[in-house]
Amino acid sequence: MLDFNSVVILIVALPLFAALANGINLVAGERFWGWRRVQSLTWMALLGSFLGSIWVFAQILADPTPREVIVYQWLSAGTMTVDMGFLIDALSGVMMLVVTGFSFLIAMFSINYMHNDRSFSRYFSALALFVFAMLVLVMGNNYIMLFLGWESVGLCSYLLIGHYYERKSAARAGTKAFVMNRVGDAGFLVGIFLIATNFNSVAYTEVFANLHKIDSFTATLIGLCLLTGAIGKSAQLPLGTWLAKAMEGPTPSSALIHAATMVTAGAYMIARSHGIYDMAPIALAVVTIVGALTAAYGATVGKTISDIKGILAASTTTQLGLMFVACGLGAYPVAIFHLVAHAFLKTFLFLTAPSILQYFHTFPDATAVERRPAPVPVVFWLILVGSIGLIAYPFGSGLIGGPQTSGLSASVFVLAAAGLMAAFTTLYYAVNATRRIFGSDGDDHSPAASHISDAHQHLDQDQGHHHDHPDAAAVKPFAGAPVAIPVIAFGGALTAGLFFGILPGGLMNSWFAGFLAPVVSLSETVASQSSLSFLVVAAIGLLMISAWVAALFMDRFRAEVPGLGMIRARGVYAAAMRRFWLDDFYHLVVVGGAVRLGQWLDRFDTRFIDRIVGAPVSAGRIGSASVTWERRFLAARAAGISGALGSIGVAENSRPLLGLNPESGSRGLLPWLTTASANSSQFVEQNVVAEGAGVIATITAYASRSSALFEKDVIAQGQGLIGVATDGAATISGWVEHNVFDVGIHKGMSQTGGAIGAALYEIEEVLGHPLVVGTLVLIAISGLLWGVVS
Amino acid sequence: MILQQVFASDQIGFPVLSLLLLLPLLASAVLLVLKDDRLATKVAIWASVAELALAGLVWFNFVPGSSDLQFVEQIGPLPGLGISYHLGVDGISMLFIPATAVLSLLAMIYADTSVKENIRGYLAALLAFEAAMMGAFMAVDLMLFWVFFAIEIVPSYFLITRWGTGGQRRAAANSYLIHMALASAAVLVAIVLLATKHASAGNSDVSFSYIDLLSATPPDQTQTVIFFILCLGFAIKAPLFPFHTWMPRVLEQGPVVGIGVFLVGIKLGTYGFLRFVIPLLPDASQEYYWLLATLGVISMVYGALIALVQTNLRRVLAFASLSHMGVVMLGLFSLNFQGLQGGLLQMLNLGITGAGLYFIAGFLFTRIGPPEVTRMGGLQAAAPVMGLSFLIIGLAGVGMPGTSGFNGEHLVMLGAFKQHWLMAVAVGLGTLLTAAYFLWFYQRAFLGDAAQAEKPDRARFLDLGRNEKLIAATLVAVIFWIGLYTTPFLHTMNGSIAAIEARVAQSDVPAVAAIDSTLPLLTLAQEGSTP
Repeated sequence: MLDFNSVVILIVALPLFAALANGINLVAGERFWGWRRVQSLTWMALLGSFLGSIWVFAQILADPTPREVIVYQWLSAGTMTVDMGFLIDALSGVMMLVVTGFSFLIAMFSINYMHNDRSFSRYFSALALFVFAMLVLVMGNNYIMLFLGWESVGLCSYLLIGHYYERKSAARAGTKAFVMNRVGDAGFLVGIFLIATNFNSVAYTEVFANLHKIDSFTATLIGLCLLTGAIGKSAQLPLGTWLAKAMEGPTPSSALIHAATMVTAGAYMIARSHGIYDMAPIALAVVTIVGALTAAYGATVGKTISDIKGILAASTTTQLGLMFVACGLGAYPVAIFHLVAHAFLKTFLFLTAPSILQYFHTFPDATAVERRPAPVPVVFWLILVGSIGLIAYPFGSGLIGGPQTSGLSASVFVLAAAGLMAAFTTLYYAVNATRRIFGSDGDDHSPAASHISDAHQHLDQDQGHHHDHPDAAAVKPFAGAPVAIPVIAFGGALTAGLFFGILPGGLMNSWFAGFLAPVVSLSETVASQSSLSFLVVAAIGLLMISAWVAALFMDRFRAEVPGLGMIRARGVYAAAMRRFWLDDFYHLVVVGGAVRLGQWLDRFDTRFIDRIVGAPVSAGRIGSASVTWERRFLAARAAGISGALGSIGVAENSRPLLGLNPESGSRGLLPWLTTASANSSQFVEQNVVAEGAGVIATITAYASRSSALFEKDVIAQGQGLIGVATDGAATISGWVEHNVFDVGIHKGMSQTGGAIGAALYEIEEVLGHPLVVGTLVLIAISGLLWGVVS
Repeated sequence: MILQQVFASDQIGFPVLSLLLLLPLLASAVLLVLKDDRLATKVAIWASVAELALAGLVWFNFVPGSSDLQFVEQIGPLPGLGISYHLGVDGISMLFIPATAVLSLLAMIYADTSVKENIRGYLAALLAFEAAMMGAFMAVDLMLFWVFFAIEIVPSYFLITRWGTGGQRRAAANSYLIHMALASAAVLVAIVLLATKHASAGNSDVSFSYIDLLSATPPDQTQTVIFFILCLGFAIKAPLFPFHTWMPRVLEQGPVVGIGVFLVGIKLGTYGFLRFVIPLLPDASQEYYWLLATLGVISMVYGALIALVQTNLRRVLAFASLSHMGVVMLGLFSLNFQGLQGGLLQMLNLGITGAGLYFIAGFLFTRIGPPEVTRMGGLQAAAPVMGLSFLIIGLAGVGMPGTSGFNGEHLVMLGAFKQHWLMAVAVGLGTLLTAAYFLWFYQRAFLGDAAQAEKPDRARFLDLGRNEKLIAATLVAVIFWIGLYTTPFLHTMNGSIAAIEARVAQSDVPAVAAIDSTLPLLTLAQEGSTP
C-alpha cells in the first residue's frame, strides 16, 4: 500500500523538481541536457503528479474525511505557527485533478507547439513551476500557503505572459498583470491578517472550527478583503483588464493559466472560505454583484473584439463572472462544477485556436482575415462544437437540476436564465468570429486547408516556416485528428457524466454535490436572503437582456453601414470597444497619477528637502539666488566680515558697507556694537525687502516654468475634466511648493543661517581681539583667585 | 528587564567576539604593508572567509530562544567614567554578524573586477569598515557602540572620495560626512544624557552599560528628550524621511560596490532603534510610536513613488531603500511581538535583497557605466543569468512568498495591524508600489528591445562571470533559505524580541514609580521579576 503522505508530497514535489532541474539546466546554458530531456522531464513529472492525484482522489472517494499532511513548520509568530502543510479533502481533490490533468495535457500539446522556440527550456521550467504553485494553492492547509501559491502562480503568469519579452507589448502586459494582481493581493493580505488576529491561526481546520468567535461584521470585513484578492486573480471588475492583455503569452500557457486553472483560483478561494461567507450576507451580495457586472462586461466587450484569443479571453471573463455569481448566491458546488466544466471547454477552445492562428499566421486579427475568406471547414466545425459546448455546459445543468431548495428556487432559476443569456451572447460572438474567419461558403480544396493538420504536429513560432506546401494539396479526410480526439473524448466524458450521474453537477442531490458535501455545500443563508438574491439576479437578468439586445442588433460590420443600427446601442458598442475606458482610466489616472506624483516628489526632494537639510550645492544650482550657509560662511572668512555681509543676498549687487573694517573706527567693544547693529539693519533692509519685491516676478517665472514642465508630462495637458482638474491642482501645488517651501522656508532658513553665521563670526573676531582675550583671561584668573581666597 | 550574561569563557572557551573584531582590523593593517595587489586580494578574501567562518561558529553555538547576552567579554569599566570594553551578542544582534560577514566577503570577491586602482587601499578600507560594523553590532557598552558608530564614517568617507565613480563624489562624500557627523553627535548627546541620568537616578555612578541602563528607566520627561535626540541620530543614519537626501547621492556617486552594498544593506540606524531606543526608552516609545510610524509611512510611500520615476538603477535602489526602511520602522514601532520580529527579519532580508540589487547595479556598471535606463533595454536576451538574478532578488524585495521578503513583510503587517489598521493598509500600499517600481524598471531595463538611444555593445556585454555568478547564487540561496525555512532565524531572535515586548508592555505602569528614587531597589526588584 502506498503511503498517503508521501504520495501527497510527491504530487507537489515532482513538478517542482522538474522546474528546478530544467531551470538549473537553463541557467547553466543548457549544458547538461538538451530540449528532448527538458520536455520529457516535464511531461513525466506532470504525468506522475496526475497519476498521484488520481490515486489520492480514489482514496478520498473511499473515505471522504479530510486529511492533513504536515511537512514542516514554516514560521512562528508569537503563539501562532504556520506550517508547510496540505489539506486533502473532496474540494482539493477535485482541484488537484483539474490542475494536474490539464497541465499534463497542455504540456503534451506544448511539446509540439513550442518546438523550435528559442526559449523552449524557459517555457517548460515556468510551466512546471506554475503547476507546483497551483498545487500549493489548492492543496495548502492554511491561508498563508494559499497566499504562497496565489502569489507564485501570479509570478509564473508574469513569466509566461512575458515569454516573448522581446516584444514590448508582451513585457508591458506581464508587468500590468502582476501589478494589478498586486492591488488585489494587498486586500487579500489584510483579509488574512484579520483572520490571523481574530482566530490566532490561519489553518483552515482551526479557523472553520472557531467561526463562532467572530460576529457578522468581522466576517463581512474578512469576506470583502478576501474578495479583493479574488477580484484581482480572477479578473473581475474593476481589476479585470489585465486578462485581455495576458493573451500575449504562448497559447498553451494562456489555455492553462488564463482560462483553465489560475484565474479560477478566486472561485476556489471563496468556496474554500464559504464558512466565513455564509456568515456575511453582505459580502456574498457583493460577490454576486461583482460577478454579474463582470459577466455583463465580458459579454459586451467580447462582441467587439476581432482577435480570436481576445474573444476567448472575454468569454473567460464572462464565465468567471458567472462562477462568482454562483458563489455569491451560495451555490458553491455549482460554482466548482462550473469551474471544472469551464476548464474542459476553455482548454479545448484554446488548443484549437492555434491551428486557426497558425493558418492566418500573419493575420491574428479576424477582421483583417475577413477580406480574404479562407475556408477550413474542419476547424469551423470544431469551433462550432466548442461554442455549443460553451452554452450547453455550465448553466444548462442549472435547468436540468431545476429548483430544489426553497431558498434557492428563485435564484437558481433566474440564474440559469441569466447564464443562458450570457451564453447566448457567447455563442453569438463565437459563431460570428468563426464566420468572420472562415467566411460563409466552404471550399475544402484550398492547399492551405490541409496544412492545418501539419501545423498540429509541427506548430512552431519559426518565422521561416512556410505555409504554402504545394505538394500537401491532397486533403486528408480527417485532417483535424489531433483536435478531434479531444472532442470525442470530451463528448464521451459528457455522455459518461450523464450516465453516471455526475451531471447535472453541483446542484442538490447530484453526485457531484454529494461528493463535495463534507467540505462545501449549498448555503442555507441564501434562503433567508431570497428577496435580496432575487433583486440581484433580476438586475443581472436586465443586464443580460441588454447585452442580448445589443448582440441581436449590433453587428460589427453592419454597424458601420449608415442608417443601420440603433444610435443608443452604438453608444454601448463604442464603449465596449474601448473596454468601458477601464484601461484608459488605469493608464491615465492611476499609473499616470502615480508617475506624476513620483516626479513631483522627486523635484520636491531635490529642491526642498535637499536644501532644508543642508546638503552641499550641486554644480547646477550654484548660480541660483539661494546659496547655503556654508558657502557664505566660507566666503565671509575669505573676504572679511564686511564682504560677508555684502555677499549675503544679492551677491552681484554687493555694496561696500559700514563693515567692521580694521581701519575704520576704533577697536573697542562699544563702537563695534554700533556698527554691527547698523550692519544688521542694513542687511535686513537689503535682503528682506529686496526679496519681497522679487516675489511677484518669481511667481510669474515659476508659473511659466511649471506649465512647461506639465506640458511634457506623461499626460497631455487638459484632457477632459480630469485632465484639467489635475492640471489645476498640480499648478496650485507647484505654486505652493515654490512660494511657501522654496522661497519662504528655504530662503528664510538660509538667510537666518547666514545672519547667525555672520554674527557668530563677528563674535569670534571680537573674541580673537587681544584686548578682549586679555580682559577675559584677567577676569577668569581673578575670579579663580577670588574663589580660592574666599 | 534584566539581561543575563553568558560569558564566552563558559560558552566557547575563547574570546570569539574580540577575534571577530580584530581579524578584519589586522587584515586591514597587513594590507597596508603588502606591496603585491594579487596577494593583497587573496589575504583580504581569506580573512573574510575566516571571519565568515567565525561568525558561523558563533551562530552555531548561539543558544536560540533565550534573551541572554551570549559570548560576553568585559574589561573595565573605567572608574568614574563607566565605560567598559564590553562585547556580547543576543537575539537582536546575532543575525547581523553573519550577514555583515557574508556581504563583506562578496564585496571583497568583487573588488578584483570593480576596482581599477589602488586595490589594496580599497580592500583595507573595506575591512576596516567591516570591523567597525562588527564592533557596533557586538558592543554592549553604549559608549563603545558610539565609538564604532562614529569610526565607521572614516573608511566610508575615503571609499566614496577615492573610489567613487561619479564626477560629484566629493560633494557626495561631504554630504555624507555632514549627515553622519550630525547623526553621531545626536547619538553621543543622547547616550551621555542616558548615562548621567542613570547616575542621578540614585545609582552610585555614571554607567554606559546597556545592562545597567536597562534596569533604570529614566523619568518620563527625560525619556522624551532623549528619545527625540536619539531618534534624530538614528533617523539620519537609517535614513528616514526627511533626512535621506545624502543616500541617493552617495549611492550614485560612490564606488561600484564598496560602501553602497552596506549602506543599502546593513542598517545600523534601524538596528539602533530596536536595540537602544525601544528598550531603553519604553515609555517615550509607547507615547510617540505614532510619530515614527508616520515617518515610516511617509518614507515608504514617498520613497516608492520617487523610485518609480528614477532612471538610474542606483538612485532607484536608494529610494527603494528609503521605502524599505519605512516598512521596518512600521514593524518596530508596532511595539508588539510580531511587529518587532517582522521588523528585525525585514532588516535582514532587506540587507540581503538591497545589497544584492546593488551588486547587480555594480555588475551593470562594469559593463555599461552608470546603469541608466536609456543605456539598457532587452538585456535579458544578452544576459539571461543576470536578468534572472535581478528578478529573483527584486521579487524578494517585493515580498513574493517563498522568498525572504514575504515572511518579514507579513509579520510587519500583522504587527502593524494589531497596533493600528491604517498602518497595515499603508504597508499594503507600500508593497504594491514596490512591485510597480521594481517590475517597471525590470521591464524597461531587461525586457523589450535594446535601447534606441545608446545600444550597448552586444559583443562586450557578456553575461555574469564566474565570480559574479558566485555572488548572485549566494544571495539567491540565502533568500530562499530565509524564505522557505524561516524557523531557525525566528528562533534565534525570539527570546530577545519577547524580552523587549515584555519591557514595552510593562511600561504601561505609570513612570512615577521610576522617578521615586528613594525606592530604587524596589523598582529593580519589580523589573527583575518580569521575564
